[in-house]
Amino acid sequence: MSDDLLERACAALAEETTPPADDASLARVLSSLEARRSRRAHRRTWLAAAAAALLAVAAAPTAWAWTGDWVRALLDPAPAAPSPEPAPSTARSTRPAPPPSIAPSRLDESHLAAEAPEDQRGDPPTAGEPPPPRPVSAPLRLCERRIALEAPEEENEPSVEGPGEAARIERARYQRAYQAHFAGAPQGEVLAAWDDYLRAYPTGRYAREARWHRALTHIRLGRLEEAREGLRASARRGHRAEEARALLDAMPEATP
Amino acid sequence: MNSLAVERSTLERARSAVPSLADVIPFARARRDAIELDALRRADPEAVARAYRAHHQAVEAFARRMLGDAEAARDVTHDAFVALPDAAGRFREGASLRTFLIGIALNLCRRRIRSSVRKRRALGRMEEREVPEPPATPEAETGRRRLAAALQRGLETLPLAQREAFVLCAVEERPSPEVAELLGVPEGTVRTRLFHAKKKLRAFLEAEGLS
Repeated sequence: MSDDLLERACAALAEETTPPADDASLARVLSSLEARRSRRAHRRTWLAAAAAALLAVAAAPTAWAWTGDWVRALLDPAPAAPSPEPAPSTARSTRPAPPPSIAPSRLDESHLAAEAPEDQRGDPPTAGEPPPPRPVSAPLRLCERRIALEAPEEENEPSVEGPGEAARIERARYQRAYQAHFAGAPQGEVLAAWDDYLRAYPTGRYAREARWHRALTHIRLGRLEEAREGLRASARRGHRAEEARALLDAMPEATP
Repeated sequence: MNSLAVERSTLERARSAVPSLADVIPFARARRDAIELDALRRADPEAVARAYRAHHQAVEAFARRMLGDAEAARDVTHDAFVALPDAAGRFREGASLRTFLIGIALNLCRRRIRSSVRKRRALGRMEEREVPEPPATPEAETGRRRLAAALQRGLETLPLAQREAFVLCAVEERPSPEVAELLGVPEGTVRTRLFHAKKKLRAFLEAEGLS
């Protein structure tokens, strides 16, 4: 067998396999290229979106912190005058100052030691509380002072209850009485304020504490029988029981 | 030197200063190719269409010789031109675009052949592969077609490397340096592969009863 046959076979194969000029496939090529271009553009868009989403997720905590500070700064402007109260503890130093309107009372519902355990109420005393308006006995003064000093500590506790309208009104009424009690208002007005609150909310959230303060006001007004009754009720219910017993011991015996 | 001689020498100097057309053409072509290549890289439809019209027959013919299947060859041609814009980055200045396209098609064919070999193995040796008989035509035509079909069948029996060397060198009549560059092997290797391919094909055609 010579190379001639192989050469003829190669020539035949070359001739047989040479396709005719065909522009029909060109359209297919161009459409494939266009499809690929759009796929790539789509992929790029997705990648950009994914990158943006990742960035947003990564930056969200910082942005939230900034926004939160900004909103808090808007809602809680700093008090005009420096508060005579002691500075809050280091752990709570980042919290915003309370509004000036409630600063004198240093009030919050969590302060109302009705639910507070006894051991949490014995914070170390600090200076700065206004003295009672009239001279009272030493145990009473001690109790008053202690109650007043509890306020800054408890005020910053987070609210357990939601800011419902009814709760807000109740708190406002208690706040009024509390403010009168500690801001040196005439004792008649203080008593009226406590009576007012207890008439409206005899089983209210702050009722036990309001009864305790009313008993103290009774002592100041010299209405010892009513005071004794209130203190005994407090001791019975276990609300400020030790203080109530100390006061009862210090009070003169009831006249038959 | 008289004035006529001075004028003649001046004219000759001027002529030698002006570059001849033969000098300029390569630069012009290189510049044109660079512009064309840039358009191809951007997958500019007009540039792709120009390249397709100029080279698709050569690419498809090569693919058909390698694969022995017209439909598969059309697919390879399509894929080669679709891959061209991305591959154009590897195109060397001064090289032939046709050779470059053949190189792309060669890789696509290799992939197809390996894949089809795997498929054939997977399907098993359960049935004999049917070889289509060439259609009956007038004698001369029949002889030519039979020869081409026999060679195509013979090519399919060759190892891939030898098939590539034979198609490029013997069927497409490309110079061995170009084939060596396309295949990425030394020229000597190309010649050796070609030698073995020819030997096997001769034996195959003999066995087929062609003489």
